[in-house]
Amino acid sequence: MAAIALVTSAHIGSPDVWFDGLAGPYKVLVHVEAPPVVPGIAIINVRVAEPGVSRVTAFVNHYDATGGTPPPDLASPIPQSPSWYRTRLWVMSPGSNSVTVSVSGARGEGTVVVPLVALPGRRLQFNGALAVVLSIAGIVLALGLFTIVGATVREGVLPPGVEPDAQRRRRARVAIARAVGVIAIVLVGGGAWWRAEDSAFTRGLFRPLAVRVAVDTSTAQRRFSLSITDSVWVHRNDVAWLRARRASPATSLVEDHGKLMHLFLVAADGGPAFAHLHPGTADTVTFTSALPDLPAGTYRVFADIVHQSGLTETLTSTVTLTDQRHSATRDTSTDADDSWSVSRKGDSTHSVLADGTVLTWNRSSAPLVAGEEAGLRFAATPPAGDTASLEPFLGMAGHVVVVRDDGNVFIHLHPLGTISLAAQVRLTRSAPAAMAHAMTAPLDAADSLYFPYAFPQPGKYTVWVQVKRRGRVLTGSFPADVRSSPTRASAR
Amino acid sequence: MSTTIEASRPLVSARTATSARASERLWPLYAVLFSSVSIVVGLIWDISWHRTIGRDTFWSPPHVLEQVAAIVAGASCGWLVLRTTFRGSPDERAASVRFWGFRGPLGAWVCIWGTLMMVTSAPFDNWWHDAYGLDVKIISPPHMVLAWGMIAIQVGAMLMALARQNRASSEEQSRLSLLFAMSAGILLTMHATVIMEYAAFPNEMHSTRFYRVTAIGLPLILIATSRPSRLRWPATTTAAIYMAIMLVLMWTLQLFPAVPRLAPIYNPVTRMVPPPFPLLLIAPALAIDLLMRRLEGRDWLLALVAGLTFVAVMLAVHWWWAEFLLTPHARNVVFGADQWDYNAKLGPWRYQFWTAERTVGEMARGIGIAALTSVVTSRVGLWVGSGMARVQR
Repeated sequence: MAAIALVTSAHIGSPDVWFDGLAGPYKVLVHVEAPPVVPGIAIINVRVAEPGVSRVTAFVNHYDATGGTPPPDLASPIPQSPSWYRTRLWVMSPGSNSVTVSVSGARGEGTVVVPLVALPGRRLQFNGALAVVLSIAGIVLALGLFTIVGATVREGVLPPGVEPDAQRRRRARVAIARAVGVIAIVLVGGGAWWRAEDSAFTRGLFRPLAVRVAVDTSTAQRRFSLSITDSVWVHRNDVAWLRARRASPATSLVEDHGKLMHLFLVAADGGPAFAHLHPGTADTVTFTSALPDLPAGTYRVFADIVHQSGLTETLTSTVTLTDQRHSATRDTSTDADDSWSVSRKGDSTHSVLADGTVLTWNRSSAPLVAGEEAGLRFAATPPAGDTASLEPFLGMAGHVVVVRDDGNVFIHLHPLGTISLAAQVRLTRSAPAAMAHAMTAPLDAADSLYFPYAFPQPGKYTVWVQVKRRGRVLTGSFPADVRSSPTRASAR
Repeated sequence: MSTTIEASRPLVSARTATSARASERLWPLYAVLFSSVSIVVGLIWDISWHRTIGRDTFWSPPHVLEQVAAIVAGASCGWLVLRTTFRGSPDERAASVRFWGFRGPLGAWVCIWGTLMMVTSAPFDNWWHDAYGLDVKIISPPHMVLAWGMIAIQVGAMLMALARQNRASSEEQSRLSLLFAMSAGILLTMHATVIMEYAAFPNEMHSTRFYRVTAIGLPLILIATSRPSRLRWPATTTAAIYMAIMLVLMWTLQLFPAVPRLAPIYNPVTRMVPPPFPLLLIAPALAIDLLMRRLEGRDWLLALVAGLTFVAVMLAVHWWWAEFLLTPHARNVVFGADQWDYNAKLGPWRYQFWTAERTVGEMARGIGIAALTSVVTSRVGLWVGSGMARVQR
């Protein structure tokens, strides 16, 4: 009915939350459909695939609430979707929120906190059937008002039974003309007010922090730098500056998987070049990293950061690399966990990694559909004779980066879903037992990996998968063609 | 509604046949007055609900009260119009106005229009929430559509009472005058509620914005409804009805236990947050009554004097009253001060004056604007009041 004119989010184009993990003794899959505006409604979907579950509840809270939590809402079983439960919750404050899911059943009660970044990200157009119906209602109401004004002057002040004379009728017409003028002024004024509210809303839409990227080629090892130039960030400790602009202060950054920033460079031409770097910083404004040997070309830059509030954000830019230097040694400032890949071997369901491991995407023959659980299941088959298992990389069994080829969708996933572990830790205050388990991030059986996610929009995507074996980070990639959903309802 | 019908019965038996018929038809007036008061009670209850519980649905109790009010007003006036048009006695038809081939009392048409306006606002408001998020403020475009619908029902109720009063026999006079004053008091309460964001909390009362905002609608309503009234102290009565409604709601609401059901909670309240203590409108209203008697027939002078006096009395009364309301002595059930929303981050601002002007010059300019506004709206009030005094149908 109403077209969506503009879409942005802190996770580029991918606002929904997926979490796969434990709520106490229960294994849960949580899918939060983020509210498109704030205050707005988030839809919480929880899958608990085991018998004996008596009750699933959820509540939303804002990271800085000091007066307790609201009472939880009961999630109801979803018809036709066994073991799924759903509830709708109001998210009243923008920014870092949490969804606390509790499961009760035969094995007692278990709770898990799932971070939710809620930001106004789209603007609706006023059109379609509603606009027609309301316009007709408006016209009827205006005509009714004019009639009432005319009747008041023509007959309302006459004693009962007296018929209005010509003069009175003329006065009534004058009164109607005046009413038309007044209504015209009201409509023009109301329209201006609406436009003002609309532009204030549009100004308040989430936009990523402004950044500037540069490549320093003056040294033997090229260095990449990303500076957060946004005044909201630069002035975040300047109380007077913030107060003058009624801006709320941004909280400082926290490490996620031990790194303050996860920086991804992805070839803009759909090519195989990809890097996952961890720039360091001396001032939390400029982040620098040794630049690996990537082929010349234009790269999309995505930098994931986590605020102390639990707010996760992706900074974006593009950079063009010109020359390619083949320095034999790695710069000592290179982060030990930096990894990159410049070539691709395989097909749409197989990717041959640098050490000969074959990564297989165990996908069904059904096409990928936007908004539906994508089934990102991968199995790693080591080269013949190698028996070493996959090792955790940055505390996680694997990392997936999903990029739509036009750069308008980007997400960095782990087996626990779209959430940042650091944000979850920050927002969890009362369930340390559940956290301890999530931290160890166990590998699924037989080197298989599952990443809960749904492609948010149709289009051509590249899915990058990173795993670690024998101390070496290996990167594979898969093309993915995602169709639009016939019913863009909730995923399932 | 059964009580209103019963209330009108003894009247019927005591009257002549003609006036008995007229008295029978009082029930639509009682019905719209019920709607009128329900609307303002529902609105204040709803605001308290949003400040305490936070979460609501289409079916929350205050919303249901609003819906009942709209249905009662729309249905009773719809019935009245159909009856007057098709089955009305010659007297009834004579005391009606024409509207697209139908006949009915003027106030009934205004009530029906208000009901349609309220109905129209619902899908608009729903779209607004989808587009821009749930607005947690009173003054937004769809809320104004709703508010004008509500106000129209209240104005319609007032016009129905007014027409009856203006052509009432002497024996019916006092009852109908009181009903008219009641309808005016409800309208005043509605207006005071709509401007609550700017002119209700004592913390605002050292800022000229408070005096500029109160100078717009309050003198207009007080003066316009006083002119056609047959009461001895019309403005004072209207202001007293406003204060009584607000005090009853303020004292009652805070008795009910309630807890927030929405995050984030910064102020864990345990009882319904009541509206702030009503404005002391009885003071400027008393001055208006005295001036209107003293300066009868000299409307321009009356507008000037009444307008200036209104702001002067408001300033004199609320400046000191606000200081009292910010003291610990006012933090009790009687004065209801210092009760804040569940999502208010409590701080020293609770006991401070907000947005007060910094210099005497700024203050004088702001009060000057308030005085000028009040003079203009007083004059408009006199015009409207003169028109209202002539309403017969």
